Amino acid sequence: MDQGSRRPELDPAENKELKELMEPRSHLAAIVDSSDDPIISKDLSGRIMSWNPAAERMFGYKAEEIVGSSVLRLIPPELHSEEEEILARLAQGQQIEHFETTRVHKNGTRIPLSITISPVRDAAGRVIGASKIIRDVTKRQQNEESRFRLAAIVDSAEDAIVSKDLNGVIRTWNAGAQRTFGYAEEEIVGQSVLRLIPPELQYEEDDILAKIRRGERIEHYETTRVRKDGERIQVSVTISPIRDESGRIIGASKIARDISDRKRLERMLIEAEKLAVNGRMAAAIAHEINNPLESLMNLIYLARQNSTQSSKAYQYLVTAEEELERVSHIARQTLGYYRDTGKAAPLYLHDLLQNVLTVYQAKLIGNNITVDARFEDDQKITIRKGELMQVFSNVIANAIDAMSRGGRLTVCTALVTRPAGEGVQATVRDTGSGIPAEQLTRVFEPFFTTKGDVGTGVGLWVARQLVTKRGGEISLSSRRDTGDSGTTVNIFLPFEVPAKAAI
Amino acid sequence: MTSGPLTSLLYSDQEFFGSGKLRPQSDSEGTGRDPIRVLVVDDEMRIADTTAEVLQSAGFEARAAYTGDAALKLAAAFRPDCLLTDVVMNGMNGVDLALEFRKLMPTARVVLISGQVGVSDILEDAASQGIEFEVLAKPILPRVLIEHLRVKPRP
Repeated sequence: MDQGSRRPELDPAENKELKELMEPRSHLAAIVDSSDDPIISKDLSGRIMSWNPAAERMFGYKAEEIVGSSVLRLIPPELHSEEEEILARLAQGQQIEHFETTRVHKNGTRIPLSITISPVRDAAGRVIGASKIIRDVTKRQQNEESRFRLAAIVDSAEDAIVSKDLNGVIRTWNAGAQRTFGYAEEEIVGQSVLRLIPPELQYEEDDILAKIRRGERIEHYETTRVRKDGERIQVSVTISPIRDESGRIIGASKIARDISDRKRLERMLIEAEKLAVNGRMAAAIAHEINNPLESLMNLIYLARQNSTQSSKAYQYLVTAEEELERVSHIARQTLGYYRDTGKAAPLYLHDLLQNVLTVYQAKLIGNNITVDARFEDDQKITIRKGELMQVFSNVIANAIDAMSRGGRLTVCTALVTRPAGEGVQATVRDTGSGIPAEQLTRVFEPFFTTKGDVGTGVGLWVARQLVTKRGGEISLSSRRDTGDSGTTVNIFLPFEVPAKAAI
Repeated sequence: MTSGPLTSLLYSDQEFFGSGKLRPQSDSEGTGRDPIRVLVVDDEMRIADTTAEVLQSAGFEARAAYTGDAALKLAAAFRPDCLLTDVVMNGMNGVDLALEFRKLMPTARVVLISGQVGVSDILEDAASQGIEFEVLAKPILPRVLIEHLRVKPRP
């Protein structure tokens, strides 16, 4: 018999029977000794009768130290009452399965464990003791704890964390995924991950799955995905293979971060940088052009003063002065978006519009655009001329750009009464190709342009700021029907000057 | 109201830069025995010289200087009625010159002229110290400049 397992001192009457059973018993003893789980037996008074090597490993006591002692040595003081209950139930022949409790190691450490206790009967069927099979659940508890902790982390993560199997079927879906993609867990788990991928990018999924099958990881891959509501979002995705215990790849975990805002910011920064460069260039050019222009104007003036009024030269110089006048006006308008430091003054809006049209006269004629102006604002309005010149220059320049192959520019003004009060409404209408509906909402955004590289995307943005500052409103509508297309800009300016416009 | 061909320019620079309402000067002041003395300052010699000549041809007594320091020296002897100076100049800028000039000749008129966008910041700085100047935008038509200087600013 193996020395690891001490048989309890049994009643001499039963000894004979035991010896007869020696052979099978030694088998059993071998099994008990080699068990990874501690197996202990005790009598009905709670005295430990046998103790296997696994018990020694778990509790730190050698068999000779503990056999014969009360099992209470293993039970924490506050749980001693458990033992009475266990013994009572054993006496009634009950088995206790997977009873989770705590026991104490020889060194005082508490060990969480699961015990299955069965009555041991004698040949007559009387309960004479109990066998205890013990399982250390420390590891299991730690596993469970870390699983719960992981689940909590996954659930509270801002990022979308999704797992899928190797067929691309979604298996888990966290709260972040719901926020990012709009689907609730119950409507998306079991569905193909292709539901999140725009049709033209679905080929990506094959590549991703191929990489995952090879055990490769995909890090910070920036792409586009579709929300439940159809909105496209920019995401940065990290995808890693999931392996089972044996290391076989069974799926993939996917962490996706919505980077739409970051992308938007990046675009804005690039545009702002572009604009700053343009601004610096404009300032530099303004300086370089305005100074020679100043000299030139003086020289032509002096040349005219020094020529005979009836001479041809005099007439040429008069024309040259007129042309220079136009150049300098445009240089002031386009090379410097200056802040109008002047005071607001009452004037007829149609005079101002007439000025702007004059500035663009050559362009209008060159683009074969006819002008239809109807002015009915016979009341002066108090405005900063420079600012409103800027507004209408932008609007009319846009109209001209929209009609590069000719058309009709309608400019009209009228006195109107709006909820905001009485004021002047100016309407600028072109017969260009119009602006697509999806872009119409964005035209007042900074750096948004429908004109590609030619536009800076600031014109209407600045126009709206200036109009709003004056207490007015600017709105835009557009049609793209063939033969009846064009864009209309309405600008309303109230007579009453808002207090905060600081005029 | 109108349709078709468009007519000549209607703007005037004074309104752009807010020198205020204009009031015509009496004939005797503009063409009398004492011509208005203008000191023209610009670090671009060609601009300073031609501007002075334009003003001279229109009946002003004009002198040119190319730096702020030279202008202050000249001002002591010339006693101008008006300082017409560029703003962005190497060395002493136009605003600093104007401030020094005011100390020297508190009653004389000061007109700044500038071709640059950033100038409005310098002016706002000055305005915040309670100093306001007339400002004209470069390039300015000789005709407009002459009219502007012939008319006294609103007190």
